[in-house]
Amino acid sequence: MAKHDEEFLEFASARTPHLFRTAYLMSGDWHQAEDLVQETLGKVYAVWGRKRRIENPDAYAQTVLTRTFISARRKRSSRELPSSQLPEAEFHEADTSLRMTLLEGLAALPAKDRAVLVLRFWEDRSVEEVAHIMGASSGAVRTRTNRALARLRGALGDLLPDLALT
Amino acid sequence: MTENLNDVMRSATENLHPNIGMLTAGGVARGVRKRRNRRIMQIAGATASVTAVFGVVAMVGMPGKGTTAGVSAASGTQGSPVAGAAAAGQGSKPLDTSTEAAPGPGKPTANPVTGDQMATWLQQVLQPYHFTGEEVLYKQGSDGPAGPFATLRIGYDGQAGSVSLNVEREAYQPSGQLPPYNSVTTLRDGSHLAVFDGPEWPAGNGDPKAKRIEVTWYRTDGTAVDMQVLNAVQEKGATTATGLGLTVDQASKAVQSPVWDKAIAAVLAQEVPSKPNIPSGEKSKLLQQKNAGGSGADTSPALPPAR
Repeated sequence: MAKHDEEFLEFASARTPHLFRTAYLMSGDWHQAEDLVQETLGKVYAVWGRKRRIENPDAYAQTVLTRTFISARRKRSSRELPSSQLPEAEFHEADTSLRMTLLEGLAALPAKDRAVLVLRFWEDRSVEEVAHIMGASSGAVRTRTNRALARLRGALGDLLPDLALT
Repeated sequence: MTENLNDVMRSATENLHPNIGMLTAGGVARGVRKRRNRRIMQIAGATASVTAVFGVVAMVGMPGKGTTAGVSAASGTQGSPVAGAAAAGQGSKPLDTSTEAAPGPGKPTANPVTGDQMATWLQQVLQPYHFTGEEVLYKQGSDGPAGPFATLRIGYDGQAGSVSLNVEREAYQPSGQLPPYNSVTTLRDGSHLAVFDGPEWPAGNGDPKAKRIEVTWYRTDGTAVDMQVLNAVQEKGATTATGLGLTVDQASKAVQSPVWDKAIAAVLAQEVPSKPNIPSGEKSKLLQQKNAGGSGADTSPALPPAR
């Protein structure tokens, strides 16, 4: 196995759980999250080992994932076909209620709102970093964050009354 | 106990345990396909260039053929600067390749289109329906990762909704049994019109008043023009009208309007500058790879990475 392949596998193994959780929060769906992570890893792998090295693979993968998510969502729900079967649950019981409540709240938001909240609050990214990842201005990110928080508060108000969205 | 959003997200995801091995293997497999795809494109591009040069030389060298017109034809510069658009017109050929109208080496590259143009064209095709209070909500040119698109807020009957239009490279892929609310019609030129006409939440897990029409015209050149009509100004937002602003017939007419020719040409020109000379065997292999590749649009940021 080539050295850069070994490096990639090491990177992917270490980073996949985090990428998956980010993808899961953004998409709200286990299988879409898996698809998003694989697509992200595929795109990172495709440029891995080039002469122009990826200096910060974590940040690069995060950017690829976010843009892939937004791009796929922009193609809209025509690709979301209804299904009579729920995806199999692969959760531990303990946090199911909290998770479902949060996912319901996030699912009510437009894709970019979801992305901005996940990046700001789950990834702990700064406004400037989120702006770079999403290809938007800092002002637009601030506005979107405030609006998304207000929407999420509206969506979760009764479900998580103690949630401080700050 | 007061919690902040960060803690809630952390708690909600800490017990998620994906299959890392499977995801990594899947990622590598997709990456290998992407690399191979890129290499084939590079080789095909080089081959196409050589072929074009030989073509020009051969034409110039033939007795009586050394005219400017002959050279132009051989090098593919015939036609107008929007040759791609013309080739991508209503009577396009049956689906054999998704690259019929893609400009090859030496052909004039179609101009990219801007988000402003997309918004103007969308307003133009909606003009016969006399909407009020039109407002551009979103727009993007052909340099964007998802292809050129525009979304307009439209007012009608004292209410408001939205219309989005997106031009992208996407070939029609027949599927088996269609889910509810979906239908597909094959048009005379071999193109396909896929229609969704139903609730925005077909699975019943959202606002039952939210309606959606989506008409996608899968052209024979491998591009698709897609229009979505909602009775909500924002997708997944609150319902802002009882009915939709357009009918399926009106949306079908709008997606097939020649006003999108320049956007189609720009999409075709942008993505595969040298596909026409790919051997058919390789071409079908490429299509299979692309179809197997999950989310299609290349949204990789430029290297070096962000930050």
